[in-house]
Amino acid sequence: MTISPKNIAFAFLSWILFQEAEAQMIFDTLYLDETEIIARKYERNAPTKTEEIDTLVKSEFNHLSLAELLSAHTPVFVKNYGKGSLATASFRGTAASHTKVLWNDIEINSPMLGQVDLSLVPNNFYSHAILNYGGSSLENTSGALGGAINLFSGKRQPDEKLSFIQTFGSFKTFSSSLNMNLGNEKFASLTSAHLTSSENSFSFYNKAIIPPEWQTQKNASYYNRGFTQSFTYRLSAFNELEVITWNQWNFREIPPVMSSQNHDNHKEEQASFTSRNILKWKFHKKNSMLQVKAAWFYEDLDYLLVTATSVDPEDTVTFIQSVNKTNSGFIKAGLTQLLSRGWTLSAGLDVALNRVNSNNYSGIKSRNDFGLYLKIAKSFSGFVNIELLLRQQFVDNAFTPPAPFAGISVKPFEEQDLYLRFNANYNYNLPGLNDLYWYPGGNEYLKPEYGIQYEGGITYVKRVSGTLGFTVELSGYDSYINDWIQWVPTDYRYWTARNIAFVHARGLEALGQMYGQKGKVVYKFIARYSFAKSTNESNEAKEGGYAGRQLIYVPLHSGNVFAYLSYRKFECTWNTQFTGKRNTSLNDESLYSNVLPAFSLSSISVGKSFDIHSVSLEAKFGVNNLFNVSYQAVLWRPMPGRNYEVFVVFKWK
Amino acid sequence: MRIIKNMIKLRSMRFLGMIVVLVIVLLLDSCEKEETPAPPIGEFQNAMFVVNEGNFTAGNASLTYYNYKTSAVSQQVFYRINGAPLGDVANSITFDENSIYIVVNNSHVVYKINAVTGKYQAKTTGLTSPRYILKIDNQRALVSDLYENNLTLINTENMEIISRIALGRTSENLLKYGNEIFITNWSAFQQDKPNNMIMIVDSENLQVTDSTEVGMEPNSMVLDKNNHLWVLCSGGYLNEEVPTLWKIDPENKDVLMRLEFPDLNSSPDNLHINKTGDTLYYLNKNVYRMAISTTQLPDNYFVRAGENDNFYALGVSPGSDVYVTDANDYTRNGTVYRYTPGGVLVQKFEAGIAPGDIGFID
Repeated sequence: MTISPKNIAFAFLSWILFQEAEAQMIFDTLYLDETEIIARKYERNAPTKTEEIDTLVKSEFNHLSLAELLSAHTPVFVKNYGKGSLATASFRGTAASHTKVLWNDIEINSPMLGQVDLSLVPNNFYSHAILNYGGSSLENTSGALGGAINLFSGKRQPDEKLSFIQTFGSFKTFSSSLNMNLGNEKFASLTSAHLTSSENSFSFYNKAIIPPEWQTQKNASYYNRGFTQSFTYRLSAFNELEVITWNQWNFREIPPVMSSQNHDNHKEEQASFTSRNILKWKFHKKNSMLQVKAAWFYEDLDYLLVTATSVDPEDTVTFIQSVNKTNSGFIKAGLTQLLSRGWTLSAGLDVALNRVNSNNYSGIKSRNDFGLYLKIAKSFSGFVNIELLLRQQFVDNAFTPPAPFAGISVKPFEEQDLYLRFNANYNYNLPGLNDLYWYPGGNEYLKPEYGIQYEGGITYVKRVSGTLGFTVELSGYDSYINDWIQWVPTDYRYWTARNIAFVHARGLEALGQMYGQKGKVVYKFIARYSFAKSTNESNEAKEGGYAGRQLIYVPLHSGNVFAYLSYRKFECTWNTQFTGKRNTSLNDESLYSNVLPAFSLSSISVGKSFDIHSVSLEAKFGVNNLFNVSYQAVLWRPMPGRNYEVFVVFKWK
Repeated sequence: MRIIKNMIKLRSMRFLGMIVVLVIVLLLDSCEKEETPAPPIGEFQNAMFVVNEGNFTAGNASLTYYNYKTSAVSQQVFYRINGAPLGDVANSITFDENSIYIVVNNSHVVYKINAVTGKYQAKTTGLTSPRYILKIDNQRALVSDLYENNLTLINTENMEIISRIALGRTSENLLKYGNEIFITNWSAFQQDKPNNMIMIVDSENLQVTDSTEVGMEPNSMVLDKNNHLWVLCSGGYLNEEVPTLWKIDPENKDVLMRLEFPDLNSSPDNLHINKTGDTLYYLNKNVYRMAISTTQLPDNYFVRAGENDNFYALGVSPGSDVYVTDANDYTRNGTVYRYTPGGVLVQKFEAGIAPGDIGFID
């Protein structure tokens, strides 16, 4: 047997299982609350890489969208067409459809596209976000070959009844965010509302035309508004009923590419309405917890492209209207049982029924997806934790192959918070309904993409004193995705979806974090680096000579730094994001249109708060793109230079 | 218990070592190659150009220059000479004595560059969806348009628009014969009439004088040495009718011959003719060749497309060599194959993304 990470891990795993009899029982009885369940998911000694987005960082981004938060603070790469424009996430060198976004455990990826537009998720609509890297997502969802982002609505926080943030920014950008908590022991109400709009009319030097010139971005405005509301009612000491709704109306204009030399006859826009509703019942008693959720999501997405002749703006030449309505119903039931001797058993059922009515499909299309999972976890004296999970799906009357997961974590020293983890998993991602049914080119015979991933990591947490601590974390992964879906040309002019690529994605993620307090100075510093090498190793790629070349729009290197400093009522935050160069085609050329250069963006904000009885007022001033970097995140899509924001934050405790 | 801990410690040290090795391997892997600057392009000589469309709305169109005497290839020449990208979906290339005209469809622009140095000279903007340009005299040219029912008349000195010429249909290929301009009506989009016409405009008074019906979706046309007009029709976007090849007398517009393709689902295009005007070439998945004297379509291909080939554009050099482009999967650079008039492959070289048009300077 050769010494490989896989073999070491399996040898280790079998040895541990053998030692089981010697292990001590640590869980006797434990009262399980939902927050503890959530907390368990990102415990340091879990065999998987799971983390919660820092609450301080999140509060700094509360007036913005998930797109900005993820790119500033996680290793997830966000492909962003500009502020307010489409933004999609890519975990660990995979595609946007391999990142699943869940809201209270239920997937919000569009069943049509398979992806989520992160710019339409306001950060004040959820209280905490948990990132499940790679296989750690399998307990909640399938198909997250890169990873999953789970957004949770909060619990009532009695110390903050009302908060309101108003911002005024450059290019006529405004946003208002409201969060309100009401209730008592039995009943709680949580309300959040968000409104954001921008003319987005920034200036940029257009080097994509000859002669180059300063231009003002046109046709790039957006206007999004929405609210969430949850009511929780405690039926008894063991029973809780909750209803949550998220309704949002979005509108955006889509600007033309920089090389377009005729802006005035072009109108391209997208309007959407989403309504997401969950009814949840939770029962917990002693060592058992049962949760049942029923949900209904609706999305209406309209795309419109109208162009006129350059002679007469009234003379329409292109009129493309795409109307897409999606209805999705979900049932999710999960049971967690703590057993004796450190064993925990979880089992769950997931049902997702999708129905799409689109003028791009021939007829109404649907997909019925039933999933079952079983998870067994065992803790040996808290030093070794093992998790085994099996997920099985039944999609449109056919079984997909089972998706197993096995992971182990080890805390080798009793007195040191050092954790090692290793896990391996198999996962399946279903094709998006567009891949299956888009007319023309959809391919009903597509197979699910399947991935095998190995992951190992080390975390070291050191609490030097009550006022100083740091965390260092390093993770490595190696994954292989087979039958990766790509749209390829046919002999008949249109493109078709095929299971064509075989992608090898591997990389490293490093995190360093430090926090502390000295006198009245409180500080926090978080730095991350991510290395993601993702290449197509299929036979087609080998024959075509592009095997081994980095996939398009996946940076090999990326990183970010967040620093926070407060003194008395003053505070200052700094954020720098580095994005390495990205290929925009598969050609091995250094010329600009094939490779976008690396860029680094920094932002700073300073603020002061004032407390008047139970009311806190904070005024902040922020500068984005501090060094006025001229960059493109997507080829020939302009981005704004230095710009400013003023915030007013009102809190009533 | 102590033994277990020691074992765990030992294993975890190995695991740690494994991670360190992994880090080193990945870091070594990440060391990137030094980028060598592309050599200067110099003056265009014996030039064959490939216009690469790029991807729609990606703005990555490009121009490839190939010296067909020395076989030297230069990529991205427009960008390298002018410091700006060619634009979004470059469609066609045309020449006059001193200049090269490149129509960039989705940038709504026609660029005029120097035929020797490649340097930018002037441009026409304010176009809707330009496709091809045809010089009609020393100072003027017509631009066809996919979405407009007009042709645009421009001054080729400064590239400014002079006027629009009502056509009543959208336009594609342009060909001048005597005092008449023949215009194919390729697209049915943006018009209420079927797209099966050749429109004829008088080159003096620039009025529509005549029209002649052909098959659906005429996509290319050439004039042979006997002054007969050949028009290739693909049969419609949804393959409504069989593709057809037409031979027309441009003097009296009589149809001299109409040949039907056997397969309704095929979409032949890219009709070209050699310099001596006696041999036609076209693409129909493979490359086909036929003498103008024959009265039936060839059964056998001239060049067979391989299983993974996606033949996309065709060109016949002044020396009658046949060039065919392969667009591959449109996401990476295409390939150009050069064949002798006898069908022998003599060279294969790279072009840009979606190489869609080929042009030669004599």
